[in-house]
Amino acid sequence: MLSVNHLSVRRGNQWVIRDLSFRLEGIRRLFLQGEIGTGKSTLLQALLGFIPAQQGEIRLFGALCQTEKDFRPFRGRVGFCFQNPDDQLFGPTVLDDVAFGPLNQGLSKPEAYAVARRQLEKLGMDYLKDRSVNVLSGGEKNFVALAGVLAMRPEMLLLDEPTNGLDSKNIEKLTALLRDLNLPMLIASHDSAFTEQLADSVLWLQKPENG
Amino acid sequence: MKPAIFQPHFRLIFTFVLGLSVSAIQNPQWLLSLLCLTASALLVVLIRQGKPLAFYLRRALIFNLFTLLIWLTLSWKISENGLEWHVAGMHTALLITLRMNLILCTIWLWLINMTDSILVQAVSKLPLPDKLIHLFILTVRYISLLGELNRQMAQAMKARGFQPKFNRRTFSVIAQRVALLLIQAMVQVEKSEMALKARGFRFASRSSLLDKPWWKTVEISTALLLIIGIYYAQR
Amino acid sequence: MHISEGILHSQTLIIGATAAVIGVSVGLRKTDYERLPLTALFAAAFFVAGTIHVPVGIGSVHLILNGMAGLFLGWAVFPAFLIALLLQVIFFSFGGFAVLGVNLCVMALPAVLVHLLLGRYLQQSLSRARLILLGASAGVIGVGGAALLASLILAFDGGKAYYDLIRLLIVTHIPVFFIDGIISAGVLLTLNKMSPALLRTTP
Repeated sequence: MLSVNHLSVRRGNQWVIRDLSFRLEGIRRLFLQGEIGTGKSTLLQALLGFIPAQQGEIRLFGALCQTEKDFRPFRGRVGFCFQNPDDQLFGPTVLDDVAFGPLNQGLSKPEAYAVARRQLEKLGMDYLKDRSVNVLSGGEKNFVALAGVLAMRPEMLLLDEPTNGLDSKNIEKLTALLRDLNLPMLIASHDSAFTEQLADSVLWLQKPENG
Repeated sequence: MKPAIFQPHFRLIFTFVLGLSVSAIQNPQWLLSLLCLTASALLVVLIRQGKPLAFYLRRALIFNLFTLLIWLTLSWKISENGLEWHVAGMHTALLITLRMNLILCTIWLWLINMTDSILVQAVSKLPLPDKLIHLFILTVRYISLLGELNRQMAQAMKARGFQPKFNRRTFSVIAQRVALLLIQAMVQVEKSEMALKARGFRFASRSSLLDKPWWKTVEISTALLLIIGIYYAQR
Repeated sequence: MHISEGILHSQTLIIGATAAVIGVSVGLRKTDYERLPLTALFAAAFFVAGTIHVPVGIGSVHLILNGMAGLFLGWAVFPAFLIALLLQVIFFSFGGFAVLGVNLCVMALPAVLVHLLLGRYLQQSLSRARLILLGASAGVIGVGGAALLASLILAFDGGKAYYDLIRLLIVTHIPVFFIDGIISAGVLLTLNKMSPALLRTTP
C-alpha cells in the first residue's frame, strides 16, 4: 500500500527526515508521533510529492514515485488533509468546495455535485452546503475539508493533525467517523487520547542529527 | 421556483445591458419616469425584504453629493459677461444626475442580496475562460483570508495606541502593513499550490480559445481597429 | 478614479469594454496555470491594501497602488482589477457594470505601463535610493496615468463641457498621487529588508 525506504528529506539546509523506512499495509491506522520539528508534516507532504525527497524511495500502491508525474495519478486515490483547513478550502460555497476534487478527477459537473451532495449528507453536513466557506466555524472548516477529500473516494488517507482546533465533542465525532471509514491511514497527531482511541500502531519520529 | 431571469448570472448580464441602454437615453422625461418606476420598485422590494431603509437613504444622499458637484461644475460658464448660467451644461448635469440615480436604483434592485459567494457562482456560470473563473474563485477566497489578517493587524496597532495621522510615522506603518500583506500572500502561495495539487487540480495548460495561435492576431487587430475608431470619432 | 456610470455615453462605454476585454485576454494568456495561485494571492493582497485609509486633513484617502500592482502582476493586472472592480460594484455600489470596461482600462493600462517600463529593475539588486525612486515612480505613473486617462476619456466623451469636471478630478487626486508614491516606495524598502525574494517573483 505504502512503503518508504531509507527516505531522507531536507528543508533548506537542515535534514528533517533521515534514513526513514516503514510500511503501511492493509486496513491499519498508523499514527506519527514526535515532538515539534521532528518532521511529521514534512513526511506527509513528501509522501505525495508536495516536497521533494533527496534520498530514498517512496512506493504508493507498489509504484515507485519520484517525479511530479509519478505522484500525480495518486492524488485523490491517496487523500490528504492539511493541518490548517483554511489552507485547503477554496469555495465559494461548501458544496462547490467539496465538488472541486471530483471535478478535477474528471467527473462532469452534475456528477461531481451529486457526489459532493451525497458526501455531505453522509457526514450529516448537508445543511452547510450553500454556506460560504469564509463564514464557517473552525470545527466546520475541519469537517468540510475532510468531506472534500473523502468525496474523491480515496483508498488511503494522510491526515496532518486532524484534531487541531476541535473541541472534545468534535474530536469524538471525528474519531467515530474515521473508525467507520475502514481505510488505511497515516495520521500525524500530538493528541494522545485521540491516538489511543484509533491507533493500531505508532511511529515515533526523532529529530535527525544535523551537522 | 424562481423564473430563470432572476438567476444571478442573468442578473449580472441584465444590469450590464441596462447600464448601457440607460447611458444612451437623452430624454430627461423618460429618465425621470424610469427613475420613479425603478425607485418605487426598489422601495417595495426593500420593504418586503425588511431591509433598513435608512441605510439606503443615507447611501443615496452621499452618492448625490457627487452629483451635486457635477451640477456645480457644469452649470456655470465664464464668458465675457463674467460668471453666467450655462444652460447646455445644466441640461447635461440633469441628464447625468438622472442617469446616475437610475443606475444606482437598478443595481440595488437587481443585485440585492448578492454576496461574494453568489457573485462567484454567477461568474462561473457565464461563458468565460476557465482560467478567469479559477482566478476569480481563488482571489475572492484569499481576499477573505488576507482581509482577516489586515483586520487583525489594524486591531493590534490600535491596541498599542497607534493613531493614523498625516505624518511620516503613519506612512511608515502603513507601508509596513501593505508589505506584510504581500509577504503573507507569498507564504500562502506554497500552501495553496500543495492544496490544489492534493485535490487533483491540473496545473497544465488546457486547450482553450486563449491558447489558439490565431487569438493573438484577433487581439492585435481589434486593438488597432479600436485605435483607428477612436481617432476618427475624435475628428 | 472611478468614473461613475451615467456620465459617459454608450459609445464610450462600448469602446472601453472592448479594450478591457482585449486587456483581460492578454493578461490571462500571459498567466500560466502555475502562476494562478500567486496571481490570485497578489490580486487579493492589493485589493485588501486598497481598503486602507490614510487620513488627509478632515477626510481620508484610499490607497490605490495600481502602479505597484503592475510591478508585481504585469499584464495580469487586467483580470486582477476586473475582479476587484466587480466586487466593488457588488459591495459598495461603486461604479456600475457597463462602465466597468472603462474603469478597468483607467486602472490597468497605467499599471501595465509601469510593468513595461520599470518591471525589469526589480530583478536586479537595487540600492535604497533606487528602490525609493522605483516605488515613487510606480506610484506616480500609476495614479497619474489613471487620472490622465480618466481625463482623456471624459474629454473624448463630453468635449469642452467637461473641462471643469476634469479639473476637479485632477485636483481631488493630487493627495492620492503623493501618498501612493510615498507608500509604494516605503513598501519596496520594507520588502527589501524583510523578504527580498518576494521582489524577484515579478513576471
